[in-house]
Amino acid sequence: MIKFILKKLLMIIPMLLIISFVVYYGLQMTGIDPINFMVSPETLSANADNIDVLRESLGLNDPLIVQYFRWLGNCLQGDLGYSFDGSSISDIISVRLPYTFELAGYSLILSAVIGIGIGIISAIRQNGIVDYTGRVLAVLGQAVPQFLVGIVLIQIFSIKLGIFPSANRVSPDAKNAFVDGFMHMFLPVLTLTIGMVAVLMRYARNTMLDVLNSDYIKTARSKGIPEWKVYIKHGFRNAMKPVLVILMFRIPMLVGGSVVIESVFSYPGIGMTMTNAITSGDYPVVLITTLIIAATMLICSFMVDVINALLDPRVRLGE
Amino acid sequence: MSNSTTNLKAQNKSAASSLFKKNVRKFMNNKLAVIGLVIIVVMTLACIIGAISGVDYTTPDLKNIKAAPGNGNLFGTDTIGRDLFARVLYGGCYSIFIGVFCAVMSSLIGAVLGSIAGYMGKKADMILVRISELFQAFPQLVLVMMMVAIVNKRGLSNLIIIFIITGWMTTFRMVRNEFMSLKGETYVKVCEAFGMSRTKIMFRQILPNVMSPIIVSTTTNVAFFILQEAALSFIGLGVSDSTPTWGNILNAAKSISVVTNQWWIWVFPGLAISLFVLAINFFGDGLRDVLDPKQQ
Amino acid sequence: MKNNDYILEVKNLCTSFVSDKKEIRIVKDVSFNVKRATTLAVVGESGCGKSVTMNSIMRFTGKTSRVTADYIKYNARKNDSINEYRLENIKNPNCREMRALRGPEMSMVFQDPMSSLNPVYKVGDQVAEGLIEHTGMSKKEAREKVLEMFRKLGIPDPEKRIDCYPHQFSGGMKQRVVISIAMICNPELIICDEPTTALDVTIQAQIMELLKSLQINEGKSIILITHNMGLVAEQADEVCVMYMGRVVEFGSREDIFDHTSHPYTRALLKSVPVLDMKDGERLATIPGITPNPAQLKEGCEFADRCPDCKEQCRKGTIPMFEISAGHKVRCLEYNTFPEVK
Repeated sequence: MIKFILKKLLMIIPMLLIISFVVYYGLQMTGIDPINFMVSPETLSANADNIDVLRESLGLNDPLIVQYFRWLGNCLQGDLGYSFDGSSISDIISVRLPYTFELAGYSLILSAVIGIGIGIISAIRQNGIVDYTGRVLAVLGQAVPQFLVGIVLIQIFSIKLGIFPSANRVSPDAKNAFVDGFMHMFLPVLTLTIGMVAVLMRYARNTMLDVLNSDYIKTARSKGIPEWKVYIKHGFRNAMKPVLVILMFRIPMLVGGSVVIESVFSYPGIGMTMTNAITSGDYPVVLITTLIIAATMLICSFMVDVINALLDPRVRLGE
Repeated sequence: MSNSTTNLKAQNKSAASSLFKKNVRKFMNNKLAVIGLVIIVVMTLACIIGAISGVDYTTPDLKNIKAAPGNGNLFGTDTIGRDLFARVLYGGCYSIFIGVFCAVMSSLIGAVLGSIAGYMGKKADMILVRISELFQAFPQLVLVMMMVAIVNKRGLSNLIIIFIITGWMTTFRMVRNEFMSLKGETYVKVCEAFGMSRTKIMFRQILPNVMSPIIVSTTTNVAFFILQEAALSFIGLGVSDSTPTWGNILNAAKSISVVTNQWWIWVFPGLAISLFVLAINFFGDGLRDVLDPKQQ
Repeated sequence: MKNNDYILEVKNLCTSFVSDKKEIRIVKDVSFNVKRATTLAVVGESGCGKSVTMNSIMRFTGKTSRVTADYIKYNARKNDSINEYRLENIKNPNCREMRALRGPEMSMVFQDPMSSLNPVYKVGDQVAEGLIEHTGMSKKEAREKVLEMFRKLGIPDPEKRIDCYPHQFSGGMKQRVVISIAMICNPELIICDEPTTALDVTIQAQIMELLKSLQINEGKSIILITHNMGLVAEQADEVCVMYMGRVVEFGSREDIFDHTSHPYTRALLKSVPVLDMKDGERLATIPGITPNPAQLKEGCEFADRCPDCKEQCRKGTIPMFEISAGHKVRCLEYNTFPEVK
């Protein structure tokens, strides 16, 4: 088991290296010249010689592969470099990454609880009220673009009712940091959750239905144990595994969604940073943000494997 | 002899057509799917007719900025006074085209690569699976954004290429897995024993058995790409502003004052997307029930 | 003392399923009795309603089904007195009353041992679960009981095997575990739904021997659902032949094999391979296919495939005739048939 986990964990490193190289190389191909961001065009044309010295000293004339390894070395020592407007990327990331993690994390937990809950109830009480409303909501949730849901929520809760702020993560005059955070996060989390719940609910329902139709549920009933035990102990426990796997598989969707949602709510997270960096061509920032997202995804898929192994005795016992 | 073969052929034909009829009947029984199909056809036709009849979607009417619906502008006008109805119609053409074209192309690539990986196995399989894993390490939207950053030039054709490059993995996985299980079937072994060429076995013998799930997933992918384009255009990384798409029109709703004061600017294109995607989802579900009943 | 003779009496059991807003009758007016400490075999082709009948008695048929009956009497014997349970009156299929019967009174062994066990729990815990539920035993006591049961059912090395997961067992061993689940609360009636169909032949024989010994040594009553006429000949005291949801012939093993009266039973027997078949002789098959239960016509269900079908066979419902004590047949032509060897 430990060997299995270690092996999976070690697999992440080469994957990250390949991704970082491909992205690094790709972004170099864009032809964006960092000098253009550092020096104004007038100085550029006036001091062509000095610029060359600057290039040389920054190592911009070295072969790409050398530049890549220099960058990689710096990164590994904790120096993520500077964005084109001169601010330290480490500083930007250390502030904004937690915001995104909060956003995605709360949505994940909330949507897991709500989505799986409704899904399981719909399966047990098939064609009941919960099932029916759930199905309608799932269909709508999958058809309406997430950012539109966000806009509608802003329209209702911020503009019409004025309960929640429509933008940012912290207010300058906040008295209670927790309450302030809650108010700011409520709408974006809700938006992301709605999208996730729509997917999860349907999946949890179908999985649970499959499980409830299996023979061992009949065996469980033939023992004369109460229905709730049949559902929870035998049904839910078996439905859990595929649902959790899907939940983890959907994390990329959540992250992708949060990139857009951060834009809707002007929420200063990693997604918004990335969007802005792409629009302005600030590729050191694009590079780091994509790598952070890729690393998160790889860790998630690693966790899928681990959870899978923990829940399934067949994998756990290494057979 | 020839008589009997034609007979057999005729029989096959009639059996196939009766199966087709049965499927059509089954589909027609599914009311939601039929409604979905009707909505898809009506909306597509409306957009195409609108575009052909040459509605004016570009000329800003500066005297008539942000006009509410009515008064000669059915959906009102946008932030620089262009007629929103015309833009939604025209945008529909682009959005639907992007959705359909990208879905078909990415399914095609996914199906071909999936067939190769699934049937050949070994090295080809390993390499293709690794590549798809690499692609799947990213949320698709982030992948698209990264590609947009690399291409560094916004335009319809670039966007379509990016969508296709980043969209083939799910179909690839599905086709590969189907092939892995189908290649053990006796009829494949028989074909191999007859010395049929590998490409022929792959594409003539096995692939038709995987067509149903491919068709179903292509349908749902149309919706996916439309939503993807909308999201991308909304955050300002989609096609350039001169090309209207549903997502591009919605881009105006990034401004909070538009959200507050000009509801029509985001409600109409928003409704258009939601309705169309909803219709495709209903249609896709109905299609799945008919073509691929074992998959839920 | 008539009650004492029969452990289960079923009269006019009907089960129908609702599909596409149509009600399809799967089991029609099935009546039979099971004598205490005997084996009743229920035979018929796939889809003839034998499993549904038994599931209806256990109330496992799910929400889309409707089960009605004149009566389903289960006569439990407790210390020489008889407790009669009327199963047809129980409304909720999973209510306390029904659950109290499942396990300690009647239990079921399912067809496929591979899928009958929950893959995520240790087999010992799965067997003990019912015991703990019904007796309130501690886990430790229950474990002892389970070990005892495993030994009795011939599971080797039970102390070790009790903590294994289902996937570590072979098919035959899994079926033994499933039988221990059914047996652990010491029920009087065990319904076995094709218990050996999914197993290979040698294991089949072992499992059937096990069941037979349970019946003989412990006085269990067994209902054996099968389509294997060989098993019927070896195991059954009485046989119930079903076709398209109806009992077409019911009688003792001798009645069925030596005085076969229904053309369907005859056809079934002819399709069994026997050792003294001549070279090149072909096994008989039953012509035609099982009709779709949703599109049944009036009259005898077997009419279309029956070699002796007459005009009157296609009219009304064919009644059950009792041709000798305990031997009943649902055929208008029963008295014209020669007996099959």
